[in-house]
This record gives sequence, structure tokens and C-alpha cells, in this order.
Amino acid sequence: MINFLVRKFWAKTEWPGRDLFQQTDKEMDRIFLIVRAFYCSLLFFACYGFVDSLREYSALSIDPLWPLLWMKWSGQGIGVPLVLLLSLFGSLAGAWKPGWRASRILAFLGCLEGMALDNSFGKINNHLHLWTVVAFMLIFLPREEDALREPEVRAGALRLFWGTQAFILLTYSMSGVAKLLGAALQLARGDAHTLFHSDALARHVAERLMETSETSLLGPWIIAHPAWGWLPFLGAVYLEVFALTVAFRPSLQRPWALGLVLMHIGIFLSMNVTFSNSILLLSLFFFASPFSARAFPIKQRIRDIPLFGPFLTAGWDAFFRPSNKAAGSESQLGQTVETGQTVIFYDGVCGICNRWIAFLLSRKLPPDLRFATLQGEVYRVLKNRYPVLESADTLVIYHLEAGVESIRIRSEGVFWLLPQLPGWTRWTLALNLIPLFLLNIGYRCVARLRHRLGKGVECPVIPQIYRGYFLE
Amino acid sequence: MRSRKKGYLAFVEIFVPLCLAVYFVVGYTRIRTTDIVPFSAWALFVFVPNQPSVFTLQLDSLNGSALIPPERFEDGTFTNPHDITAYYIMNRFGIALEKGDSGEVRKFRALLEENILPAKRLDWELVKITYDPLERWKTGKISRQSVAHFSDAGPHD
Repeated sequence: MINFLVRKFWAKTEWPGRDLFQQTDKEMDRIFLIVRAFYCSLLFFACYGFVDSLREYSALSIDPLWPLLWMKWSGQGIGVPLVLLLSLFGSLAGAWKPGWRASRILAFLGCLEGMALDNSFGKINNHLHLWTVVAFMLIFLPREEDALREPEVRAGALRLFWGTQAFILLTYSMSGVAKLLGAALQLARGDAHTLFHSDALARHVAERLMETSETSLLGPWIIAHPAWGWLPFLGAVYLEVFALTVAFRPSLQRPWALGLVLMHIGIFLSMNVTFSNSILLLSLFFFASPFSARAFPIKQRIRDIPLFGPFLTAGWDAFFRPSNKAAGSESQLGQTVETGQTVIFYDGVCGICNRWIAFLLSRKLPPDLRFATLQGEVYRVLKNRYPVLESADTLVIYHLEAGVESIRIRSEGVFWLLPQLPGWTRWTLALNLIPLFLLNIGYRCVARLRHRLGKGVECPVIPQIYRGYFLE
Repeated sequence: MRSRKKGYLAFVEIFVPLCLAVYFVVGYTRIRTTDIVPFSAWALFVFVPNQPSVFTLQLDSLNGSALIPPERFEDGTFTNPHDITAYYIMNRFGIALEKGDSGEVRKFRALLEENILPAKRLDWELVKITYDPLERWKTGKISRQSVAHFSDAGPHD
């Protein structure tokens, strides 16, 4: 029975055309980088306000939560400094040697005790709950060397990391579902105001601001114009309810995390409730997630959107329907490019582009990669189908997967290409920090000057062993 | 060695869904009470406030001198009205009083007097207020009901 349930559970992570748990070095690199950043952040929390916490918590009367029951014997005078030191050195051990399980156990204990101390004065807040759960899950990661060497260990590590992401998302889903249940209960008992009334957010904001006798940047405006806050509020509930779905649809991980971060910022601006820890956790585990690299066509992202995906896809198809001319040439392109293949189109008369292709060929390339020039017949067919490609005159990446076509141009193409090269994951992570529009500006400058810059560079003769990579 | 590595994958495949299930169940079973750390349902903003009744407090005398008018918690002369922890303690104290849970009453009274209220000789009062949030925000209208009086000598209501 358990085996059956477990198999059913993991089957949900599989979908046609892409294995969620691709076992490549670059994904493992990314995971261990995120894990190290996680422990460094814990260390920052432990250091930040250490002295203030020591002074404040030693002076207050304590109502210890279960992880601190030992303080009844040790006394608060010894217990508080011990907990703060454990948080500090536990997170330091995690940040210094995240590969050691002992360090990770110590970091988890420090996090659990520190979180319990924060909440042992009459009110439990949620700021470090998720961090503690994540620290617990990360204890079970294997050593990096084992994960890189052993395929089974690597597969396990990827699943464990995915499980950690699922924990974070499940928490949001539970919060969203709780709101829906609360609304159902309020409707059933005939309350005049529920989630489905336009003043729902305004009431929450007013209540919260009066609880703390504060005001906020947007709060008074939302209270004065209740209807304006209602739709974003419903949107936030939607994001929360379907958060767990995103674990199974990696094309949505980054956009969903962005939505949740914006929700937290919205809560801060309207109610003065800060969720900075949650924002950091979402950014770490989803903005740089190994499962959500920029490799998903926009149409797939739209199709994956819970509830509305099918309607939006239909709208997309109606709006971006290929022209008649393109439909006629579809089979021509289909004969040349097989499903699962990716074609890199480059400027065949540009010296820099040719050197770039030679550089790519010198690396270990995925077997489904093909090259073709922008001056060739295959690209002409593609351009006929997508006239927007007229302006893309340097790098175009075309991918065909299970009947779904995706096209990436300029920086987005480079973003897709770099992680395919062994050892280039870190560069991609660094480039991720720069907004795409800025990268596109830089890319266009180089593209404009490419013929001048590539003067004197001769087009290389393609060696026989690489000829199979070229379509024409 | 090989089987140990395979064992790791098998372990993770059971461990992850099991942990998720436990987290879900424990989080939701505590949704109406308080969290068992580190399990949390994040049951925030679940009910839209219609006519909430919450507890607050007011100081009637300090160091033997009567405060006229009494100092309300939200006035913030002797307390920190922006302290959300204080707000929660006052409310859990009020709920414990209404339930007659003497253990909780003792605990929260100690937290209130030692962490929130000024450490001076004082008489104070727990007050239950009921209001419509939007109306209170705009007009300040609330209805107040005194629940209990306390002094250094203990409750005298």
C-alpha cells in the first residue's frame, strides 16, 4: 500500500518531454550553491541583533516552548546565552562546511532552539518556522562528492531538494486553503462580510493596523477604496492555494515565487507586516531553482497555469495563429527537425559567430543539438512562419518537443545555451542577477558591431566529425 | 556500497512524501489553537473581521495615584502599543479568563505584568472591546465592557 502511494506520488512529477529529475552536474552544482547560501543566511540571522536579543530575552519573563523545556532546569540566565550561541555556531558550521552532516545537524538544532526562543514570550510568529523545516530536510542531503559520482545518490539528492521546495509551497497552499475554509464557514453562518465581499482586504487592513496602533503606506488608501484591494487579495489567495501545484510544474516555479514575493511586499505596504525571511527563502529556493531554469517556452508556462491554463492557451493560439504561408511550410521544417532536437541558428557570414560555434563544438554537446546558418533554407522556412524573426539577425534557438515549438532569441538564447555547457552553470547564475532587458541592450551593441569586431577572422572549415551537427 | 547508495534513493522516495503528509496533518490539526513549532498551517487572515471582540487593558492607577482618565493600552504612555506580542498575550489572557482556565490565566497574567506593563505598583483592568473595523477606523466607535480588575494584590472583581 505504502509502495503504491509512494509510486503514485512520484508519478506526479513526471510529464511528457522532460524528466523533472534530470541528473546533470550543473543541477547538482546549483543545489549545493543554494544550500550554502541558505546556511550563510542563517548565520546572518544569528548574528543580526545577537546582543539585543541577549539583553532583551534575558530580562523578559519566559514561557518556554517544547524545544526549550530544558531551560526549566538550567534557568533563563544560562539558557538564553546558550541558545543564542548554539544558533550562532550552528549556522556558522553549516555555512563553513555544508557538506558535513554534523554541521547541518548543528545548524538545524541552532535554528530550532533560536526559533523556539523567539516565540517563547507569549506569541508564536511564523518567521522562522519554514527555515527550521528546511534546515531539517537539508540534514538528509548526501555529500556533494557522492551526489556527483553516484547516479542513485544524485537522483535522491534532487528528489530531496525538490521535497524541500514542496514543503515551502505546501505551507503556502495550507494558508490559502485555510482562507477558503474560513470563507466557507463564514458564509455558512451568515456573516455579512467574507472573503467574497469587496471590502474583505480593507477590513483585514483596518483590523491589523488598529491592533498595533500603526499606519502603513497603502493601508489608509485601501481602507478608503475597499474594492481596489479586493482583486489583488483574491489573486493572493489563488497564488497561495495553488502553490503546491507549482512543485509539479517547474515552468511556473519562478513566476509563482515572484508572485508570492510580491504578495509579501503587498502585505508589508498595506499592513506593515514584514515577511523578509519568507521573501529570502522563496528567492533562494525558486528564483535559482535547478528545476526552473529559463528553458520553458512561454506557451508551456501559460498552459501550466492552474485553472486558467487551458483558456489562456486557447486565447494565445487565437492571437498568435501562424499565417497560411507558414502552415504550408510546417511539414518542410518538420522533416528537417526531429522532436526533441534543438537547432542553433547563427550568422554564417560573421567571424565572431563562427568562432563561437567552433568554441561550442569543442565542448561536450548534447546529442540532440544541431546548427544551421541564418542564411540557410531551414531558417528561411522558420522565418516565413514567424515573421517576427526578421529582426533577429544573430542568434536564434529553436526547440521542438512533443509538438510544441519554442524559440529563443538574443540574451534568452544565450541563457538557454550556457547551462548546456559543462562548468558554465555558475556564469549563468551570475548572469541571472542582471535584468534581461539590460542584457539585451548589451547583446544588441555587440551584435551591431559584430562584423567590424570579427574583421579578419576567417570562417573555419567544419571538421568531418562535427558535420553531423549541421543541418545544411 | 552500491546497495547503500540505492538505499538512499529508496529512503528519500519514502521520506519526502511521508514528511509532507505529517506536516500537513499536524499543521491543520492545530489550526484553531496555537502552532506546535515548527509545524505551522500559516492560518493567517483566515476570517474576515465582521464585529470582532478583542481584549485590551487600561491602567487605573500607578504608584498609588489614580489616573484620570484611565490610561488605555493603545494610548501608549506606559506601554508599547505597537507590540503585537502584547496584543496576543492580552487576548489569550482574556480568552483564558472567559474559559476559566486558571493555569493559562496565571501564565498570561505573569507575562503581562512582567513583560508588558510598567514595573510599578498599579491597578489595571482587562477590557473587552467590540467594533466594526472600518467604522472604528473612520469614527473611532467601539463598545467597551470591563472584564476584570487587577492590582498587585490580585484580581478584585
